[in-house]
Amino acid sequence: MLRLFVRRILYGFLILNLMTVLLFVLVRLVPGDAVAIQLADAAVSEERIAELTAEFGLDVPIHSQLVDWYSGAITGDFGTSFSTGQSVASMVFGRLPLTLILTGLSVAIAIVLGIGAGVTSAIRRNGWVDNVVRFLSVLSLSLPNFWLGLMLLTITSVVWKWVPPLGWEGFVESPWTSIQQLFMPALALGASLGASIARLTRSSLLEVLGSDFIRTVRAKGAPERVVLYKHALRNSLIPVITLIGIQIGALLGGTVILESIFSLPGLGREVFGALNRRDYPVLQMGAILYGAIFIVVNIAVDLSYGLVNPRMRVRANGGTS
Amino acid sequence: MSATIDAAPEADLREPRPDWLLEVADLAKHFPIGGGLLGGLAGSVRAVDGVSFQIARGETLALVGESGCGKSTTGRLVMRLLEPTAGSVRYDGQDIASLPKSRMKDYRKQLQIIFQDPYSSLDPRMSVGRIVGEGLAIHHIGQRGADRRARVEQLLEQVGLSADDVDRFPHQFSGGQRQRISIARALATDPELIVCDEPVSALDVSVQAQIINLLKDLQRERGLSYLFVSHDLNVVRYIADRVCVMYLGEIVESAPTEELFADPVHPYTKGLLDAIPQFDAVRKVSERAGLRGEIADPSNMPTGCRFHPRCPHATPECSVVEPQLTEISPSHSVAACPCFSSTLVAEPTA
Amino acid sequence: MTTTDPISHEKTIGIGVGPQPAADGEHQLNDDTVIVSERRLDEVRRFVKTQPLGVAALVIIAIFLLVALFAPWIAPHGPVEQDRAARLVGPESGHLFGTDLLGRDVLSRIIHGARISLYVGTVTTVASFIIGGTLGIVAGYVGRWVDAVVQAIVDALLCVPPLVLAIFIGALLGPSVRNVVIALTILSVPRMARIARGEMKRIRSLDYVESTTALGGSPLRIMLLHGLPNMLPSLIVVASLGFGNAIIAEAALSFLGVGTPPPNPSWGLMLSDSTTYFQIAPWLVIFPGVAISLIVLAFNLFGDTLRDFLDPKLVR
Repeated sequence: MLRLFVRRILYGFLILNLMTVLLFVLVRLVPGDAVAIQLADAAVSEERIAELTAEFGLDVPIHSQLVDWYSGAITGDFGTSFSTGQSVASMVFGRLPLTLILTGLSVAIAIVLGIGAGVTSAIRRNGWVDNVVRFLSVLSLSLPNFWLGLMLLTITSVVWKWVPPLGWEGFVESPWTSIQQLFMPALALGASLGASIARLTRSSLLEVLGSDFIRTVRAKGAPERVVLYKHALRNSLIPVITLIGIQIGALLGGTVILESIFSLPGLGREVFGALNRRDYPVLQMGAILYGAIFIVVNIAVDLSYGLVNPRMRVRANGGTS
Repeated sequence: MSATIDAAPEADLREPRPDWLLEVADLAKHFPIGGGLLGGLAGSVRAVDGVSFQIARGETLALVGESGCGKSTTGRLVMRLLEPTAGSVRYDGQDIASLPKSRMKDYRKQLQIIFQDPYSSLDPRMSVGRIVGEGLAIHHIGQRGADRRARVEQLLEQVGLSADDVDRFPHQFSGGQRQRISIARALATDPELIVCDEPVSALDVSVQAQIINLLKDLQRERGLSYLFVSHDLNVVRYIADRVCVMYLGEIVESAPTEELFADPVHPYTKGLLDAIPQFDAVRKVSERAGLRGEIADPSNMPTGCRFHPRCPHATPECSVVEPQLTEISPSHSVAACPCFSSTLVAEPTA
Repeated sequence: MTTTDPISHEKTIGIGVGPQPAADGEHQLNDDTVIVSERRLDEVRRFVKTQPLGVAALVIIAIFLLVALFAPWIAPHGPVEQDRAARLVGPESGHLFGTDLLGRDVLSRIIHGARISLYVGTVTTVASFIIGGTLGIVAGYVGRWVDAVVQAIVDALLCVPPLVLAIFIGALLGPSVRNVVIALTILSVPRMARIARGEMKRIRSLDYVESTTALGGSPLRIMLLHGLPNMLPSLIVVASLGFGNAIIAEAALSFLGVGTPPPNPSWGLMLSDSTTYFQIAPWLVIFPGVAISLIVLAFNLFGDTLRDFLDPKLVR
């Protein structure tokens, strides 16, 4: 088990590096080089372009650029922004916490809504509540999250004349303001995950409730509530965790748009800004960071199976001892 | 274990042997097990570990043993559906185990296989006509269209199906009928040798008899040879001319069918025969009184005689001495384990 | 962005012993095409009978297709035609869905926008089907290092959030419909490849493939005549869900300014234009979003019902 875990981490690391190289090469494969594209609109002389190209180290072959980047990365230097001249690390890392809080909040909302709706749906199987929940979940799977965010914003502003307070002050510093600012984007972001969780909870609950092992628990005379919550629900948690692992990428991608719509200064808005400035070092670092979060979350998901399923936990302990 | 029933040229002179269609010598297949930190090798499973036997034209040789003994792997090695780790498979004098893959196609016509599972062995999206006719298409036998269709219809009738079944699909047939389709497919290229990999063990007992009889009839009409892989000794006794008993990748005893059943020598063979259910259809041989314990893990092979952990007569010597296949009568060989070899008269031929 | 249930993406369809719909490639080496098409018709009939929601979804898709096809004849105004006298007027004004800041008719822009969405969705889906399917089938069949390399690249591409990767590629290539298609194809190829690979691996281990090998069948025969037809249902389900995703992604990229360039009537672009005026002109937010949601809903429903239809064992 420990061995499997170590292997999982090593593979994750390999994939992260492969992704870094892929992105790196992709930038440099583009016809015309990055500096020229960036400065295309501005009236800049040929000499200035050549100068900047040299300054950013883009005039040497790709593989030596890669080596340069890696030798910098080891010391925490991830390059310099094309447009601001600041170090990429300083621009990007500080933005991370807000994005993580937003993503975490949307996962929490999705779990609460999704499991609640899924359990209700399964208990009232084929009743009208079930049908409503199922329709709503298919529907919210099809709504683009940025449109949902815009709609929430439109509805609250038009109907209640309320918009979230402007200006991010930090979650710890002013939690109440932060929650007002975060709630709508988190809801918009988490809606489709919540819908997926509801569908999954419903179907796996129905499957578990029909299984031999639940029949045994029932036959032993356990009350229906115990059957449902202690045994059935617990067993249907694993696919939900897996789902979160898979969906985390979509959530992180969604933060880019939603942070822009709701003026939240997180990693997503930094990436959006870099996009408008065609600031490739920042864009690239943003993508790498997102990839790293994805990989870490998925390793955590693998690990958490052991916590949910005691049988696997025993095996895990046996393996490490 | 080295092969001893393998016919050396001198032996052929001394006592005339039948014309072997298939000669398998020292065949081995070791499957590597990944398990190291970066997927390195952690060892290997010796699924088949030096097996030798021959099949004459028109003969049925049975490979028997519990599941996991390597008999199915042997069948696939003979067909070269798996690449052998070592050894040779001579078909009509030509070693096909070392033949370049590009030249293998000629032999594919002559060697065919029938699988155990009648469900996974037929492509659910192909009509029976296309399934049976696939061999014709691959080897460009006959004219596309009506000619091939007629050939397929004829094959279907030969295996007891109707010519009208050509346009139906596998899911419309029962297990026994599906197995007939498999047989028709195998016959399409007019092969000489067919590997039957547990062809009836997934079928109802009543259907089993029909399929076995069909196989016997076809053998008589077409002069086919069978390598019949099975764990069902009742079936084997009915269809086989000779039997090789396999245990953990090795042949422990080999004899003409009636001799083996009448006079088994190896303790494992005795155990298998004791376990034959006489009046019922319970097929899990190892559950009966004849054999105790489970077959060992082939990735962690017992030393000495591989059967010694389960052998009722095991002596301390058994875990040390590797038994050699010994000819105790002209056609009867046995892996002579110390626990019984003192009672034997013949000497190792190797 | 990937708002579709990802489990559906990962889920592959077990091919049961029940009746199967005929596959498209089936007639290639087949002497009895007539029989096969009859069988296919039977399957269609059964789908219509058992999956009313799927039929409804198909009807919606068909309507959108017709609207896109005949946009110039249906739309009351041109997509970029400006009516300076009627800027930012609401739906009550004779413009059914209102007008935008430049006085362009929202309904007409939505009708013309269907062309962009469906074009991007179709090209992306077909391209990723062909490229991803081929990669996956070859990787799954050949195995060994080819599989390991394809798998690692697929994993590496899948670990970047899809929208971030699309933004990245979009930023490199610059805004144009063609570049959106390229970016979204790069995005969806790994998803398709992953499913095709898994299916090919599963099919490869089945006895009917071994028996084709035993008959002397070439790898190409196994991949095209056994692999492809047997994995086709799974691939169609993934493609259908991927179609919806492509439409959302096009909108998202256009919204961010790296997709379809203005003044094209892309739905995402229209939403992007609306952000400044949502308080005084909510119709700018509502209608393009409804259009996106409706067509995506249709593709998701179709993919869903098709999966249920093909795999009745699933409890739903």
